[in-house]
Amino acid sequence: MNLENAKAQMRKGVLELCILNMLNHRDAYASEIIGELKKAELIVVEGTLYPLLTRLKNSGILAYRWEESSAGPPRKYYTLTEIGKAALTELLKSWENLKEAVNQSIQNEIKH
Amino acid sequence: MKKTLTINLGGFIFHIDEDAFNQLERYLGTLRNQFSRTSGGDEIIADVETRMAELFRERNGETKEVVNTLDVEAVISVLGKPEDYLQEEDYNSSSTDYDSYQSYSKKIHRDVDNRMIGGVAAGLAAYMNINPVWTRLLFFALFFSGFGLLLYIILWIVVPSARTTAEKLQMRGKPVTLSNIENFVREEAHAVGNSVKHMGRKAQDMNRNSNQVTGLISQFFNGIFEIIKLIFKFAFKIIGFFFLFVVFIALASLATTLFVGFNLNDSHYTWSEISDMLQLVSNDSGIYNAITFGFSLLVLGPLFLIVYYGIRLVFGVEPLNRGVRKGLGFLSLIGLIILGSTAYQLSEKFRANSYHISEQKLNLKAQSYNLEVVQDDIYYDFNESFNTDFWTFSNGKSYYKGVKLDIRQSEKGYTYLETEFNGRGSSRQDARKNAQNLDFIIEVDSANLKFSNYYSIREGNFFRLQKIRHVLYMQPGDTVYLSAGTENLIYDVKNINDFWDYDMTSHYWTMTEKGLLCADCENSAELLKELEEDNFKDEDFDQGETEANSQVKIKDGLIIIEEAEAFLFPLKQNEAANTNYNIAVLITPFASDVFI
Repeated sequence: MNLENAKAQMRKGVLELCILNMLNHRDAYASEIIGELKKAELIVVEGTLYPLLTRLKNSGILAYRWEESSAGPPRKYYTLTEIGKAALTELLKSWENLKEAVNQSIQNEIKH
Repeated sequence: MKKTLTINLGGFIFHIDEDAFNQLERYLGTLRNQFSRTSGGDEIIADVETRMAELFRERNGETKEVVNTLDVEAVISVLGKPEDYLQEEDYNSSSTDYDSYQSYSKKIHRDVDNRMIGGVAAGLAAYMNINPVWTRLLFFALFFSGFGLLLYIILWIVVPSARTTAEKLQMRGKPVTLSNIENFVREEAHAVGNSVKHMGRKAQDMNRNSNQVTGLISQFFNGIFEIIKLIFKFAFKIIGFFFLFVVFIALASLATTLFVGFNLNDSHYTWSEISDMLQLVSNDSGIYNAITFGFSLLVLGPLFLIVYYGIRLVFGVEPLNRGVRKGLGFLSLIGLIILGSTAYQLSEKFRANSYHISEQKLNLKAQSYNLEVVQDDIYYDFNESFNTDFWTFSNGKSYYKGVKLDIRQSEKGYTYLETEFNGRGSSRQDARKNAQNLDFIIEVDSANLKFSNYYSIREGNFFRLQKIRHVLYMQPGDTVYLSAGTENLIYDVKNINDFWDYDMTSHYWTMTEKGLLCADCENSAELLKELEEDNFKDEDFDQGETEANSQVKIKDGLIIIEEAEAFLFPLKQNEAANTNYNIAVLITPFASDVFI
């Protein structure tokens, strides 16, 4: 079994959840999102994020607006739509369930 | 010193050296290709470019002026390799744009969820987007030809099963309809067009210092290359189908011959007949089994490879791994060795040659008689169809076309038939036994002679290239009528008229002192006269030394070797004193053929 691959798969599963959660609190542009995710060690290379953001935008979960920046050309600020908010609620619920279930299963194995 | 270009990346201006520019160009080009079919692909590229600009600025600040390859490498390592971008995409299949993405990377997988045996038929059906009932019916029908089983097993081995969601979705293609094929072509062409357009744009972006003309030419050729690639892609699919088709036809016809028996290319042997033949040649089933087994092993590998290659070209499955290739080669080699050693064993059974001759006096009352050939079913089998068969089966017995007849002059004062039996075997004794155990037909009554032009081998004996050669010795003055059909029996009969065997039938032939002469041909009298004149001259040399047996005499400058026939050699007088003669001996079987 490829351990790195398994870890990557786990991270991928929760990546969307984290992005939506982050944008629920405040709007952000790509570099900010990347910065946060990198800090949390959820992504290894930045490249993975762009297709994901585009896909989320295409499916109506995210929207963006252009905002002037002091340090150069305008920036793309991502924001959570109403659909996105509903999706986030859904994802958080399933995360809680999953966390619960995984912990339960690990606990059980330890007891045995 | 390096050339520098100025580029606009995400709204910022950068000075970049040529090597770094090429590297960056390559990277973005790959990404562009990768996302050319994803909706919002251009947006992704724009985002990436913006991010790159940020990273370059972070890295170099205001002080460093030129971006170099180190900078580009560093930025790429932060963003990830082009294939890293796809990691996330592969495992998300919820969105609608997945369909448009996957229809291009459609790959065949075995549908293990809906399988009956290995999921091959279901996978194929999913690939073609049809009801699996049809593919199953097809395989079921093909099983009977033998090809279906082989194809199924190969596909089972070769085609991966669909395990992940992505693979399961990849497995499902669009229906194979004309409009979809058209769409596919158009979209492929569009992609080519796009890349050509990109190249055009790139060419415009290029710094004026660089040679625009050579750039444009190389772009142009790249565009052509893309188009050629597209053509080849289709050509390979067609070749693949052709491969599969050819193998299918070959195997289907083989199967038909195997089980049904079929007239193929004039030769009407069925597989069962061929196997009977093999059994007749080999006196134990071991050899027969070895031959069939060796042959199967020999053809298995190449057949598998052809089928595999066909599948590969059509469906684009993985290349065959080395181990399997080696294994197949090894199997073929073993098959070859088995065949070789059996062939050697078999040839051992044909090693020795032997013959025996029997003589039979013929009690023909008439001076003129008929020669006929037995014209039964077997005769027609051999002679009516213009095939070159030399053996045939009838009522569980095998018959061989190996009987010939010659006509010569009798010197014994009566009419007789000499029959020479020839055969091969592992030893002289074995060969003699094989030559003797043959059945054939000779019917003689007062004015008729009837022969079969085939023989059969008695039970418990084997085919060892047996040959039967009759020689009819005719009394001078007797006449024989060669009835129609005897052209298939007589062989190379010498005659004064110099007719070929086929011209000799349906004529009366009289045995004269000089040989066989056509009795009802126009030029016969003339020929005979000529021959007598020639012979008169001959007698000058012939000193009448014909009474002695097997002696060599030298007389008046001639060496005369006498056996049953005479051979005369002219010799000059002055050479007679020399003791070293070079004597060439011409052996001719006929007394009438005396060479001077």
